[in-house]
Amino acid sequence: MKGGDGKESMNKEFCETRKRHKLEGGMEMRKGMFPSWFVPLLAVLSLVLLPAVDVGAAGQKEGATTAAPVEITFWNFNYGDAAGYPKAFQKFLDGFSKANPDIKVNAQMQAWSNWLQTLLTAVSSKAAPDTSISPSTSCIMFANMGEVLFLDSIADEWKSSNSPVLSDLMPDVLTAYNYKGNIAGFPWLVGPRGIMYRTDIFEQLGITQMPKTWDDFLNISRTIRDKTDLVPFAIPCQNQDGSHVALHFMFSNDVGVLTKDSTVNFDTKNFREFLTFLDTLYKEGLIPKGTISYTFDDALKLYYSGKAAMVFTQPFAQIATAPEMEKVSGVLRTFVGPSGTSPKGLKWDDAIMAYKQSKYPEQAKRFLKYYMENNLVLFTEGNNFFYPLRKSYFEDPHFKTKGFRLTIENVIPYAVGASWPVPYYEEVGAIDGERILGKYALEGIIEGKSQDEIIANLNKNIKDMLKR
Amino acid sequence: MFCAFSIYPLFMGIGISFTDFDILRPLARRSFVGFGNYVRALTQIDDGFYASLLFTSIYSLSVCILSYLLGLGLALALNKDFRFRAVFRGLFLLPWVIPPTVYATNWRWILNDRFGIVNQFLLNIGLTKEPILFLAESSAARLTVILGGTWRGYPFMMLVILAGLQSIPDEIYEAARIDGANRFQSFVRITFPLLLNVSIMSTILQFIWTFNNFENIYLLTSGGPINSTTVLSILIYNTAFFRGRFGYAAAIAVVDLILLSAVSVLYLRLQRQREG
Repeated sequence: MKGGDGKESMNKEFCETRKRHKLEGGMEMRKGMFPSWFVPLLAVLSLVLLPAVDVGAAGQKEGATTAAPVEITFWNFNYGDAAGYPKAFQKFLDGFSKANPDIKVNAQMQAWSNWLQTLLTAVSSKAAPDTSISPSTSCIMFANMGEVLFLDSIADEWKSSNSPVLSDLMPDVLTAYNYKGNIAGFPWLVGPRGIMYRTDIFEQLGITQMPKTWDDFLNISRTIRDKTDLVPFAIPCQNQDGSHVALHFMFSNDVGVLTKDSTVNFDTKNFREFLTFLDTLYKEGLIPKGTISYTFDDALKLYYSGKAAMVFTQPFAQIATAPEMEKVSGVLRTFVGPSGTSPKGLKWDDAIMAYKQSKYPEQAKRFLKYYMENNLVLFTEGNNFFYPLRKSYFEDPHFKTKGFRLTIENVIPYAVGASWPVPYYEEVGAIDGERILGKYALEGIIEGKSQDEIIANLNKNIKDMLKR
Repeated sequence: MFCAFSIYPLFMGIGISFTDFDILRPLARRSFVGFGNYVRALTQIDDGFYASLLFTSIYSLSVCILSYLLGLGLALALNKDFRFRAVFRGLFLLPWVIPPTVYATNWRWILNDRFGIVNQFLLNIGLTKEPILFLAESSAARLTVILGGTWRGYPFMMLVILAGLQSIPDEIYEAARIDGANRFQSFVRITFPLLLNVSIMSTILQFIWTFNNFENIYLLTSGGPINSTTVLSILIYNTAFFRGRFGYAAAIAVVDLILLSAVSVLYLRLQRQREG
């Protein structure tokens, strides 16, 4: 054996060797320990199991003290402006949470564009929320698909407790969206369509009589065209708004998408008069040449920027963006077409509904009951420019302002639902979504198609959509 | 992951195309219809399939050619050394990176007949007496969506061609200069041939993406006026979500897939021939 140095160097070498073997041994162990498929499998399992582990842990934590509130999802849509309406809705939710601490509502705002596809995709892929707004007659469509949680028990509760809500609801609220005798949805607001006009321009031109017929309206438009440089009448055509324009004027001439017998036939005198009316508006320069490309906002922008004398819109919508226009704006009384029996215009009744897929049906119904009983704040705050279906709400000063007052007087009494003259049919939303009337009637006239061609296209496409 | 997000939906869609699956009817009523949906798409002329296919082909070819030419021109310019070149390279990428909704909203305002700056400019300089109805008249709308697609597509071409240009050695150009070649001759005899592979690849890819593109046209015109700008993807969307006919829409989508697969096979054959 060598001396002390040699021993130390041997020890050092021994330690280094041990260290090296440890590393190499460990690596060899690691190499042989896991097969090649193990790590990817672990990754996939983590993705799948992690949420469950997390929920379980949270549940355990909460279960240690009190029961966790049940969480339900509500898909909402914006009925006011981008900043104000969500705040108003949060206030409403705070009220609900205080009254129902065992339920937590996860409210998600959806976009209006492609609303039908959003709801349809969610429902068809079994990923529906617990509750949602039901735009148009979509609750009937979903009821036909067997996906709706009927709300009769809520109405029964109101009846058995003699709730004041019952007598306060507008007529037909409990029957408007019935599907085979069951309540598929509660309509809770109305979005009427009408014509806003410049009161100062009318005064300047000496127009003192409101139009009662199409001819009156055309004459007023011609006067504006001849004596000012304003666009007489701005209308939107893009998205679903072209169809809304068409429906509004069709109704005033007693024409709907379906006849009273629920058949499809656009080849009628009344409908041809409507096409002639549209043709006159376009050919005489009473609506802008670029109308086909105008959205709801484009038409409103033209009016609010002072370049148009009249606009087809939801009266006083978004007036907060142009407050100076409020003083010089009025709302025309709904008028009647040459073959119409009475003035009629379009309105959309939106409802609230619950889905059969909900894991918490009782909690979902409690939320909807509260919604119907306490939604005044959604109208009075957040610049909501729609109208409630509760009579007492109209006593609120919010509805005494000029825009609301004029619309209540001149438009709402004459407004009918999109399915008029039939109570409802499930394809209303789909026909509206594909812009059938706007595309073939409005755009057809503007593109110079003949009436026969337009009628043939409408008959074919509507019949195709109704084939079930 | 690939199987979950690509293969499974593909086979699911092909399977649905052989049924009468209607999204608005309960699932229990779905039944097998064989090739019925395909026969309908290929034989019913007024269903819109051929009109959409024709416009989709014209739209895709036009966007490919125009975006290639524009991309090539910009790539040649940006390949030279000049001040703030990096800034320009970034700016020219903007049409590619902005979201489709921003693109559509801005262009709708810019092209509006009453308050759009393009019409205001043309009227002010006296080039037109009346506003041009870019989105409100069928022929103009078709041209507008083609130009819009070109605007969205040229940055990809520019990037790919620029990368190709930078891989060409300078010595080749020097040798050509020594031999007396001018710029045009250098481009035709050196640049373009060496860019051919990259050009073919990028054009075919651009064609496939443009053929399948939905949002560029839908957000601008919704396929109007009166279906004049309805491409196959919009037809499929309307058929599925508004008509409820998922089975029929899936059949149109499968035909779309077969057509594009043919284009891809052509590309692969061209590649092999060039390599051979």
